[in-house]
Amino acid sequence: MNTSLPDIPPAAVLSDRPASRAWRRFRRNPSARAGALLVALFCLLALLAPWLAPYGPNQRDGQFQPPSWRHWLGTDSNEYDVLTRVIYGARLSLVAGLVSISLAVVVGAPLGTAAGYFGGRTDALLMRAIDVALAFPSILIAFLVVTAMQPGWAPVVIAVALINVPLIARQVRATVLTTRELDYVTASRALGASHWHVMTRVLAPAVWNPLIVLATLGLGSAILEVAGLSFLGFGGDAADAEWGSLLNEAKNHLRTTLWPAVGPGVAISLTILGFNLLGDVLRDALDPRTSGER
Amino acid sequence: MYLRIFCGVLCGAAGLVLAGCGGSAGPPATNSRTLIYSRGTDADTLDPLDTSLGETVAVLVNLYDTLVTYDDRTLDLVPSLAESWEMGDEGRTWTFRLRPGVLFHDGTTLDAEAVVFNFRRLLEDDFPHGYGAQRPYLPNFEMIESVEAVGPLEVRFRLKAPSAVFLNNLAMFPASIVSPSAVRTHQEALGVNPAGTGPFRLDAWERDQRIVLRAFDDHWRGRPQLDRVIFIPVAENSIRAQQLVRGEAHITDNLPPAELDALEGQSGLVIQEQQGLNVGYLTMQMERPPLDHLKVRLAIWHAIDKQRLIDVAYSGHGQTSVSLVPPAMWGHAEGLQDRQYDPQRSRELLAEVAAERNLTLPLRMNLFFMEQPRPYMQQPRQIAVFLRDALQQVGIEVKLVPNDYRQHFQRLSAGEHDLGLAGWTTDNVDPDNFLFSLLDKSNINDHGGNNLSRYASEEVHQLLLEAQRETDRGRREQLYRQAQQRIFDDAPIVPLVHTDVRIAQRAEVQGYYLHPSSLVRLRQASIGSGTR
Repeated sequence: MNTSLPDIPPAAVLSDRPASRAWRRFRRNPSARAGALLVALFCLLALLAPWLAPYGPNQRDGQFQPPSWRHWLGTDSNEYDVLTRVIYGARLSLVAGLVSISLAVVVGAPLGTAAGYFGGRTDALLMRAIDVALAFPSILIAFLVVTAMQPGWAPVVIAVALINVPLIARQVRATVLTTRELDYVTASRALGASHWHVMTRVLAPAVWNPLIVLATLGLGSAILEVAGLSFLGFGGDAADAEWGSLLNEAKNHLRTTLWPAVGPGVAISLTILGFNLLGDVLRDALDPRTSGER
Repeated sequence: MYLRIFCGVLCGAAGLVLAGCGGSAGPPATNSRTLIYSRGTDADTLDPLDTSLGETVAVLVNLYDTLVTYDDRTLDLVPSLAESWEMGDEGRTWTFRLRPGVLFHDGTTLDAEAVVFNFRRLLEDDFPHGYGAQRPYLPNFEMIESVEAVGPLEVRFRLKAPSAVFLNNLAMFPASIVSPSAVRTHQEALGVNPAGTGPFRLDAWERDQRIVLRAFDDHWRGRPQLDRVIFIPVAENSIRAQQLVRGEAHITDNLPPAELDALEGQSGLVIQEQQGLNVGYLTMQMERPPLDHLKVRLAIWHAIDKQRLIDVAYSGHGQTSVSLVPPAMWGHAEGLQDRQYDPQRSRELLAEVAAERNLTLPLRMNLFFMEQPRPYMQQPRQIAVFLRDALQQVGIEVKLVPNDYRQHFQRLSAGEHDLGLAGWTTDNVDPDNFLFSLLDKSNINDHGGNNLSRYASEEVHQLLLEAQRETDRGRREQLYRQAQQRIFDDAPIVPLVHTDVRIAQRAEVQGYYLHPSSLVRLRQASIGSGTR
């Protein structure tokens, strides 16, 4: 009896769902694979640092040793193994980036939604505030925050979050502006749904996809911003393993010793490359308007 | 978006050469008679009574003269503003005959009243022209009872008791003679409007940018060879080295030893070296528990492998220190055996203290360090990280607190630290200058007091006072040895290192001699056209 039904491959069944369509598109893209691989690699390094690192983060084993089998990336001015420090550095860098972007989303998304949904005065007020925030060079905002608090990782994370809030709020507002005029939104309002319901239930799904893309792309630059601030000496303890402070320490000896700078430098570049590739591909994959196959 | 741009640079620098080069602008346009001296930090003030900072002193010795000074090459005392002097009343009175016709930068003439004015300003708390100068060196001059002018060019000092260090201390920069009319005119702003009798006068000072000195045509020794001297502060060691190589600076000091080793032998550069009369040490604030407990301080002492520290942070250029007075100086504590590096012993000591006082291990302390290089610590951050790791091994969790050097020493004076990096270069080559200045109880105060550990030993105080009064060298040596033994037993500080002073200069700089006192005296320097 069943034989009358056509033989449908499982993938085709799933293909009706947007998520699986996105996943398929994502999987076939080589730069997506590269990006995902890089991001996964660094996440793994961060998670498994104590097991993967060949030495302890503060273990001393001779100063400025060139790369060798004992020390793949050499040792630095504090006698630390550079590879170990880079692996442990992934923790602080990734976590700081992740936390600051999450903070930015938590603050920026509601602001953007409210501005876009209510329009009028609320919109004008919020958007002007954001324009003002964007008019300041982001490094200046970061300086202000770090100076107001004591130097440390918390102010660095807050500063980076603050830099990203306006970007996220603006993007979310743009999405909400186009979405709120759509029929299904109007319909739900006509049915008497509360503002809260419309914003959190009806509009949120439309906002979600661009937000993921933006956060992924933002994560790369947030990691860079964290590294930049700690490079400038605004980070926490001078001896913490973090890519920016590793570079800062290494630059003092660049004229005589090069290798302590190579590890953290390459790590920063690769992580950001990873997040950027991932973000670009996510944008294509999650955009409902580009529904064709490549 | 500047951060982005900056981060781009950071990323590009990812490993390579860019990172350091951004900071400093090139030197101002110079002619061949301008000398550029690049160092780690700027001066703090040019009032000789208001500072104890080496970078300031380097400028002061070119702006001011003292009554007596060091020979051009040696540490012998020779006449300067005073032509001659004689001692009377068994060392209780000293009469100085001033050089006639010496002009200050502001056009006034040096006379006995001017000298009296300066010493009253140094000695008297309620002198009407003090203008808030902190006088950190006051205790070095407290043997003076009175100063009076006994003729237009004759000054008589009366001492409370005979003093072996008096004449030496007159050669120190706090005894510089400032124009009294400049003090009266500029009052609190004297620090940026100095007027002395020195070979150079201040031309311009852009704070943290540069200090420009101009030759003083009417200097009593004759006009110096150079037209101008520019001091520029550049904190990054690697940039200072680069400036020198590129010819953007003529002299630079406080470079890390590894950097100097790399520069040595490069054509066009010369390295000058002197046995350093200095000490780098770790101060332990004894008023803050648990550092008031001797065992805790001893535990810290035993936890530090000084030789390894010197290998790491000085590339081996330095010798381990047992006591403040450097071995190159008389009065050094010969035969004093250093405590062994013994982390196990540290752990035991800390465990005993923890049991005794009901403390939980690990103990928590902060460690203050300066961000800029000092002559005795070219890489303070390296040292701080080293000490943090060493102390962590034995059960002390250390939080590193970096500070700009100006705040650093202010905060240490005020006793805000648990542990702190500090050091000293002698001003007058007398053990008194190390022991009395750094560890006598009269030097404990919140405004520039140099007893950073707040070590208040009455016994040491008495020994040091006695040594000041004693004129016999052998007897003084004995007293200083006793004092150092006592200090060693009480361990208010951990002496770490005595390091050699090395400066790097362009070969075309001639006539500049790195003096054993490390004073930067540029009067005889000139810039030749060729290279050697």
